[in-house]
Amino acid sequence: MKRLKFLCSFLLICFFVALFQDVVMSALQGFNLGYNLAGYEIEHALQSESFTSVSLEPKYNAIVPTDVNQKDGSPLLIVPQEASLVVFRPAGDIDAEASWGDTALQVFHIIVSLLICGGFVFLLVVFVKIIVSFHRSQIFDERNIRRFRIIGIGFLVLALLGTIYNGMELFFVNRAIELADYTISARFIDWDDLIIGLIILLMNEVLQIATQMKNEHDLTI
Amino acid sequence: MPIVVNLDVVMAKRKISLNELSEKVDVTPANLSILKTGKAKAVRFSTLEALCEVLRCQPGDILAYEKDKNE
Repeated sequence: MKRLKFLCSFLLICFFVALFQDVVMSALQGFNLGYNLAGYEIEHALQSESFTSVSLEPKYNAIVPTDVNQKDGSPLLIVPQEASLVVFRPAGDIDAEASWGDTALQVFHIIVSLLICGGFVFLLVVFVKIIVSFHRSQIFDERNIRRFRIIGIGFLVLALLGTIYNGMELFFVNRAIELADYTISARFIDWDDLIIGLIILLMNEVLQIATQMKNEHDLTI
Repeated sequence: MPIVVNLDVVMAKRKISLNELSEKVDVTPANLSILKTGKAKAVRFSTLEALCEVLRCQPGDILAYEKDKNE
């Protein structure tokens, strides 16, 4: 039991540190980028449209170094796999192009992203409840079975929403941008969340069987 | 459940209380109560042996099979 309590505490600490790094620091970086972009837009009378987490594949027709190694001056080829892209246009152009359909799509895009954010926060709360319950040695509890099922189904729903979000993002990016040296990748199915959700549901089935066995054992005189 | 536990009947015949029986068979009063009220899922042979020895009876005196009326 001591090892279990230690693992629960260590997991919670690592989890919140990773959360701080991935969410809080990313949010601060995003805020800085947005603030600097706004300054640039005002200075140059431009309007920007941002696309985050775009998957890029280099076109290997001809290898052309893109930078110089500052340590020894040798040519350097940068091959980004995922990038954020910002398109600048004269102020008013982006709004002028937008039709009702475009606006509806953008609104739907924002709703999906908010659902994804809200979903992750909700699953995070449920996950912490499970770990706290384990820490109190309440492992084979019906409530934990329900919580794991919620997290598993939650991840499947997030995988679906993520796929929709990525598909829409891909549509918007391909409509706005064409790059000379890179192809914008068509990978948009959220396999990570789908597989995590399925693994959690599988583990939940095992936990349910274990809980049933424990209950039968408790009622064996 | 088709298996019926008649422990209370045998205890009444032998005039022994739950606490006294639990001490003699080395089973907690709570678990004996679970057995007596028919909520137990299983009984170990060692427990059944101890009960039969203390209550001076056969397993068939404590346990009975009654087919469900619904069937």
